[in-house]
Amino acid sequence: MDKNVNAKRLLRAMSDVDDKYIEEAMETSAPARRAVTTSLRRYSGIIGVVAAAAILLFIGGALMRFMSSSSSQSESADYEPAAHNMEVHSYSDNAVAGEEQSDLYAYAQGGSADPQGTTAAVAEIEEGELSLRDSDTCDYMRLAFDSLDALEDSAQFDFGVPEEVDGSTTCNYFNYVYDNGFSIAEVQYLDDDGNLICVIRKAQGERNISDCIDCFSVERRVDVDDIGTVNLSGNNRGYAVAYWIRGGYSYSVTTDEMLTEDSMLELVSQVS
Amino acid sequence: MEDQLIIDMYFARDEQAIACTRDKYGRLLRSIAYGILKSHEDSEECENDTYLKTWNVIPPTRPAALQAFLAKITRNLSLDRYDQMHAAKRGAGEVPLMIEELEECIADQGATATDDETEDEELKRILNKFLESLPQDARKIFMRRYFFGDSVNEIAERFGFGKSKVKMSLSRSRDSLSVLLKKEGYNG
Repeated sequence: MDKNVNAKRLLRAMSDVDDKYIEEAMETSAPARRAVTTSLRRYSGIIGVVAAAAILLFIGGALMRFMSSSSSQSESADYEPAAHNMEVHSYSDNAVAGEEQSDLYAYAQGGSADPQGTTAAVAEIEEGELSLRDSDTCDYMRLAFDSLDALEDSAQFDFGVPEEVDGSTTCNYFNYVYDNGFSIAEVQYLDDDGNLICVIRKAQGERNISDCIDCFSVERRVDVDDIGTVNLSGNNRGYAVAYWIRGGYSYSVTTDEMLTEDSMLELVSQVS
Repeated sequence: MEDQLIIDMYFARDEQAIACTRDKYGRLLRSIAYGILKSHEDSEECENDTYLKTWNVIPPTRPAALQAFLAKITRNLSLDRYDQMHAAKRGAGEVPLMIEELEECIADQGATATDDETEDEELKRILNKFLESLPQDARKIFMRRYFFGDSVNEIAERFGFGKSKVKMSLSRSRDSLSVLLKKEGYNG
């Protein structure tokens, strides 16, 4: 019996290990949170610019607040510094980034920290490799936000998506920034259990950004008013992928379950 | 729905048991099958075959852990399908890579393994002993790789580890397994 046969046997025998090890490995983990030292180095220029812009906006905001508070107390109450909308931090530097943000916030508030803490988006950075299937695998940095507005700010284009899809209860907002400058905005829709049920993407340029090429046996092209040609992929039970190009942007919708053509196009029509 | 209730439905021959199983574990089973087959359509078929097989074995079997029970069935069905698809040649995806990696654990002089059930039971005992000996992180990484068929990238993403840490952990675990297999006389 050769090594290959025995290795196959070993692989097969893994099916018989104790249930507790299977369940342990299936435990829901926190979302991937990788130390980003190398990524930060790689993108230190971008982050530096963002940080500098944030500081300037804080200072500008603080000055504006100071000036407006001199003339109108009520206007001051509504003011929220724009730079609070983004916090860039790494997992290895959480505490430092948090302190820095708090100090700036306190400065903007005239010396007292806001008990509410950050008020809007929080960006988290991860790094990794992603293949778009029709291109080489390349390194990317993933920025996570807690609002669509913050994602749009990062991606630098408007992104119209439905607030929810059938069965979803929460959304994740990501901006993938590749080594070559290519950028994809992504909204993920999750159900109550945290299962991913739909992903909607948008990027500048013209390419299939669905990360699904030849995934399914059925391909169909449909002409849709106001959108153009929408490419659908699925099987005999429906479609799980749609991608299209419109106005210099690429879009994609990927669903966990197969949808009817009408349902998929309905979803497509809500994306801009 | 609680697993025990689903199992009771199987025992009562209530076909809703399959729908409940699909609702609760369908995604998990598809992901296990996809990890091995890298094909959505084949994964769906393995998922459906899992329900059929589960229907046929419960009763009399009453699984202690339904999730793990289903995962094992899907994994075996997926490996069967993989073997059918790639009978004549080595295929793509993670399976040939996993086999190649596990070959490191097997001695050159040829194994004494036979096809009898005793040998399989012995291998199962050694694997459980080996898994018990691993630190939790290393064990989870090993299971994700060689039970679920996750790639190094997927494991790193799932647990938030660096790829190098995952690779290193797998390499050390394989070394440990190789030592244990020799010690237990599996490699002859």
